[in-house]
Amino acid sequence: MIKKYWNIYKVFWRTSLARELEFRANFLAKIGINIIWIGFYVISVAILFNNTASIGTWTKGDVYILAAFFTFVEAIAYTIFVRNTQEIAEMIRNGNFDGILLRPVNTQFLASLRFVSFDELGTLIGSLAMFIYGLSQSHASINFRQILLALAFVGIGLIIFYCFAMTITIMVFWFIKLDNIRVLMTSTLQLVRFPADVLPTVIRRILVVVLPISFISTIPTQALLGRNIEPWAGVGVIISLSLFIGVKLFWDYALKAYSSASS
Amino acid sequence: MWQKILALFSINLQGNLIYKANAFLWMLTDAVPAIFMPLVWLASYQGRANIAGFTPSLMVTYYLAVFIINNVVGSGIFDEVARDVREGQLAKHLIRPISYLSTCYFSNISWRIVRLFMSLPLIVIGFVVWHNYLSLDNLNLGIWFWLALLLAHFLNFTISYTIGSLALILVETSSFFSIYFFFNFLLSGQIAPLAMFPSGLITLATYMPFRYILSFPLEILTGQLSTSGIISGLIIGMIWLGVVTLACKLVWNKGLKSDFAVGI
Repeated sequence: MIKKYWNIYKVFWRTSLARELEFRANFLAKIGINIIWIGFYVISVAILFNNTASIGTWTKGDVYILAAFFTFVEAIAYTIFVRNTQEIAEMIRNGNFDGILLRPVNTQFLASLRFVSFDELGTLIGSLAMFIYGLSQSHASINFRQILLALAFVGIGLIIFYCFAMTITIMVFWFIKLDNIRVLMTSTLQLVRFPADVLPTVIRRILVVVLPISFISTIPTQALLGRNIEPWAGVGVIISLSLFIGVKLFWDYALKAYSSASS
Repeated sequence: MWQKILALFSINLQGNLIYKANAFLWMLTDAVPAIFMPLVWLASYQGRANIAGFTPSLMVTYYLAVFIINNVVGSGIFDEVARDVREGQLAKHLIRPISYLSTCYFSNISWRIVRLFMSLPLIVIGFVVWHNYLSLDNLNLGIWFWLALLLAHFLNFTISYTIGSLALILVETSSFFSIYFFFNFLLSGQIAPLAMFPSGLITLATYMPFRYILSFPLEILTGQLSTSGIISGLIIGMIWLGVVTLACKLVWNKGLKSDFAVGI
C-alpha cells in the first residue's frame, strides 16, 4: 500500500520536472524573483540591526536562522502542495474535479500532491544561505539532539501549513469563489517573520495552540539554538496533529457535498 | 467637462465596491506591518530613549502614518494599464471622447476614496492598540505637509501609470514591476524611517523619486525636516514629476506608433 503510493508520488515528481524543463527561461526568471523577495527581508533585517544589537533576546544571527526556517518551510510548502490547493479550487469551479474522483487512488493524496512546483528553488537556496550566515554569526552551541528536535518541529510547521491551505481550499466546495481568503493566509503568515517574543503574550499563546504557526519559525529556531521553547508547545503539537486528522475528515465530508459543475 | 468627470467617478466607484471583499483583505495585508513592525522595534530599544532620533512614541506614529498615507496616495494603476494593453482593451478606450489618462486618473482617485473608507476600521484598531504610545500634538500638519502629500499623490500616480504603459513597448513587464517594487520598498520609507538607514542609502534616497512618494510627507509630518530641507525636497520631487511625465510621453509616442491593438 505505502509502496504503491510512494511509486505514484515518484511519478508526480518525474512528470512535474519534465514539464518544468520545457520552460527553462521562465524557470530562471522565477529564481530571480525569489531572490528579490528574500532581498526584501534581508534588507529589513539589516536596517533593524544597523540600529540595534538585538530584538528582545534575539541577535542578528538568531534572526537569520529564524528567517531561514520560515523561508524553508514556505518554499517546501509551495513545492509540494500550495499550488495543488489552488488547482483544486480551479477544478471545482470548472468541473474537472470529476476526473480526480474517478482515479483509483486516495482523492486527497492525488488532489493535494500531484503537481510538484519548482518555482521556489531560488527561495530554498536563499534559505540555505541565510542559515549558514546565521550560524556563523550566532554563538549558540548546537548538538545532534537539538538538530533533530528542530527538524521535528519543522515537520509540525509543514503539517500546519498544509492544514491551513487545505482548510481554505475545502471551503471552495461550498463557496465557489474564495480566492480572497488566500490573501488572508499571506497576511497571517507575515506574523512568523520575526521572533514571537515581540508579540503580546495572548497573541503569542494563540500562535502556539489555536493557530499554531509559531511552529513554522520561532519554535524550530528555539529548539536548534537550545533556548527555552515557547510555553504550551507540547499542547500545540497535539493540536497540530489533530488538525491534520480534522482536515482529512473535513475533506471526506466536503466530497459528499460535492455536486459536480460539469455533469 | 465636470459631467464627464462625475460619470467616470461614479462608474469607477461602483466597480470598486463590487470587489470590496477582495480589497479589504488586501488591505489587511498592508495593515499587518503597521501593527507588527512597531512591536519589533519596541523590543529593540533595550532601555534607550531613542533610535536615530525616533522615540518609541514617534516610531509607532510613523508606522501608523505609513499605513494611512499609503492608502491615500498609493497607486496600483500600473496593473490596470498593463492589463488593458495586453488584452487589447486599450483600443476601446482610445476611441472614447475622454482620454485614457483621465479614465485611469479617476479610476485611481475613486479607488483611493473607497480604500480610505474601508481602512477606517483598521485605522481605529491601530489607534486603540497603540493609544498609550501615540502623541498627536507634535505632528506638523501645516501647509508644507499637504503640499508634499499632493506631490506624493501625483508622483505615485504618474510613476505607476508610466510603468504600466511600458507594456506598450515591452512584451514582458512583470520583471520590471518587481524591480520597481524593490526600489519602492527599499527607498520610500515603507520598511523603516529613512533616518534609520546607513548614510549612503539616505543620500541615494534623497535624489531618487521613491522618497517623494511616501517618506517625504511623513518626514514633514513627524517634524524631521527644516524649512530649507522641505523646499529642496519639494523641488527634487517636482523635478522627478516632470521627468517621469516626459518619460511617459515618450513611452506613449513610441508605443502608439509601433504595432499594437492586441485582440483586434
